[in-house]
Amino acid sequence: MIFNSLDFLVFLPIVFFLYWFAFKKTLRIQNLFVVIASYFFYGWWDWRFLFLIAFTSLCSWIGGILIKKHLDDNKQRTALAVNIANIVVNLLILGIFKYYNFFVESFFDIFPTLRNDHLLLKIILPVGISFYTFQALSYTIDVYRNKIEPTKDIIAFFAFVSFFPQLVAGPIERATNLLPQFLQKRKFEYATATDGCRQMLWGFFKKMVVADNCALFVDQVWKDIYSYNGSTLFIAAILFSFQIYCDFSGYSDIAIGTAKLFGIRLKRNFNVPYFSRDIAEFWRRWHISLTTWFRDYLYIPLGGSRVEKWKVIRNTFIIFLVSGFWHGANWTFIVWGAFHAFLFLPLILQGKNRKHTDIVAHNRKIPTLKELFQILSTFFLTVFGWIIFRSDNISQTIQIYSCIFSKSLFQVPVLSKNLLFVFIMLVVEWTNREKEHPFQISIKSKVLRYIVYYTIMLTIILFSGNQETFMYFQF
Amino acid sequence: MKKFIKRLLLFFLLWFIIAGAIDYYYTKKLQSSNIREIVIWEDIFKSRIDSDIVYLGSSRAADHYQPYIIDSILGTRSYNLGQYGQTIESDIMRYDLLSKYESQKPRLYIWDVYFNSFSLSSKYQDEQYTPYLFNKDIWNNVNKQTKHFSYIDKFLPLYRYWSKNVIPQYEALENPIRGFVYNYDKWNPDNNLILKKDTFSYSIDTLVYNSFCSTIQQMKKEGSNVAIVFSPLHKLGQDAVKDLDSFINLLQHTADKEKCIFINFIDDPMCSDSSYFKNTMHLNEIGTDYFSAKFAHIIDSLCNQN
Repeated sequence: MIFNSLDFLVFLPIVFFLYWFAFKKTLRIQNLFVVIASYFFYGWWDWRFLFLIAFTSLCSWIGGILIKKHLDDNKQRTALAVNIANIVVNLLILGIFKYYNFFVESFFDIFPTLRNDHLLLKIILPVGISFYTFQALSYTIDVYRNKIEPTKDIIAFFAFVSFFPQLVAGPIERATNLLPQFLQKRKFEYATATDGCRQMLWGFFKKMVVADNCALFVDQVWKDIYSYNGSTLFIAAILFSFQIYCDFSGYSDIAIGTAKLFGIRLKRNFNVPYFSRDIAEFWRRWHISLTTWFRDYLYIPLGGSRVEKWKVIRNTFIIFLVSGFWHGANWTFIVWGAFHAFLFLPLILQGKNRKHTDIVAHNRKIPTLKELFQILSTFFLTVFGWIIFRSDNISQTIQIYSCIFSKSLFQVPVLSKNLLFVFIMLVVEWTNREKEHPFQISIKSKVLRYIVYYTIMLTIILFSGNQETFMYFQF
Repeated sequence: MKKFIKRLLLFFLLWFIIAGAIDYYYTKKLQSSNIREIVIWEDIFKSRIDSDIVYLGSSRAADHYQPYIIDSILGTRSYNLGQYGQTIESDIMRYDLLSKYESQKPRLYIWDVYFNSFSLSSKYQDEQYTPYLFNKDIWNNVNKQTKHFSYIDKFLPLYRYWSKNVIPQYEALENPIRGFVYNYDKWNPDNNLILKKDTFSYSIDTLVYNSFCSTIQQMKKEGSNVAIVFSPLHKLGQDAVKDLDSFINLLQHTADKEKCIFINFIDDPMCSDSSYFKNTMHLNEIGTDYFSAKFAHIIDSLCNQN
């Protein structure tokens, strides 16, 4: 089931009322209902893959208990072995479904004479597998690190792994944040629920109006790159940057907003990344739940930034390459990761990778010229990265780059009306960049507030693009 | 919680009122727009077809028959009821509505068919019906065999316009004349995917085919003549259809059985000349003018023979 469907529009109120009225009596029953509703939500797409989620959840739940038991018995090595076994099992499942064919295909590309198509698997990628696998993994690792007590409540644990708003595209939650919320009674709060509705509305606007409309233009251009001049390709790349942002952050806003309706607080996943002043800041604001996951479970264990300079550089490259590969089994994602690692390099060498930790133009309405220049240069660097990300293969990326960096960059481009929607979105996000989410509007007049809500709803209905599925489902 | 639910209900109640009003406004705006499909519906409902010859069929009919050219040769008054993206079912619906609203029956029906005409209609280009979901005739007919619309489409305000880009639609300046609008696209075979040999095999839905035959009988009973036409199809398009000959034989057989004329352009020299086509399935404006004149002369000679 996807958020931007009529199915979800029916599903959500039913689940909301049952959750707060029919199953409110005991925590276990309410959690069990969350699991059932979440499995129903996922199974609406393909019920067969529910076994996979259940298996992942079960492995991690048992793993957590065993790790704790061995740690208490001072059997550190056995606990580590269990932890590693759980990681291997989970990554093996992920590897088979997501990466097996990629490795086999790559092998055949290198040794074409050995090609045997029977070795390729005819399987579809389970939606959201990378998200819930990482979420489940973080639990056992945190138990091993003594950051969290393992839970014996299997229902609460299953609810933590499968909680439907964030099941298929994140935010990737940590057990330390989400699991305790399933272990205590939730209270309905009016302010949180209304704020959740507002955040959902903004998410729908970003997804259905901005992202889906940008997609129409971007897909048209990308389908036939040879028919367009450099300037049009450049505009398509810019629009793709907004498409992927609004698609993914829109999903996150809907997910976080939906969770608020159930008294659950999810982590913020995007924090106005296109207003970043350098690449390091961009990565602190983009897909925060994944970036911090890699930071905590890969970068820091490798030594992080408290080691020799060359090791810091090595660690940075590893984290970006792995992050790129996480997005999909294609060389373009790996090159995209490497591209960002190279952009990061000068900041590490100068020790400036934590220069901008606050929000730009704090307490000011507009940025300084210097800040504006920094924002624009960072944005355009990411745009060139997104070209790699969007391309089907590296040769297509090279074609687009060579066309953009040619005289045709100065020809009149084919313009898209969607730039207007992008502009509206940017204005709202800039104005509210210091708030928890950009649609936490502070209009006192109720009438005016309702007018804003209804206008957004009308815009969604009248101007939304073709109902496209969310891009990050494929990751 | 009570406060939240109360506010939410109030919010959506107000929303339904506002959305209902906007839905009504857009529907009226669309109904008075110049979009070809809308103008045709309005002409049918307001009994403005008033023609000697009526052309029925899919987008091929819509694009191929220029009423003014044909009328200037034959000295008649004709109207193009061809409908984009639709099959025989929708042709029959148009015929039924025409019979209901037009007291004067046409003297001749030109029914343009092609290899996809006898399949069940798809939901492709359904937006041409959306402003008329409250019209009983359209609602019942469109949902007769294939469920094109649900009650949610009908009663949830604005839902049927969701993702349909309403505003560009009602701003469209098509201004059809007697149901016809020129298409100025140049030859581009890539616009059509049917280039590979034997890509398509035609399918005949028995119910649809039987409805076709019984409608011809009905037309004849009302005193009208019927001509089944297979208008020009580009050679590349012909190659893409498996067993096209047997389909043509079926049309010939039907025409013989129903005692009507069958005019076949499959071997016409036009079919090998890409300058007449915008894609493998449809003529461009040069092809349309040329074909319409040619077609009118054929009809003229057939009338003289009889």
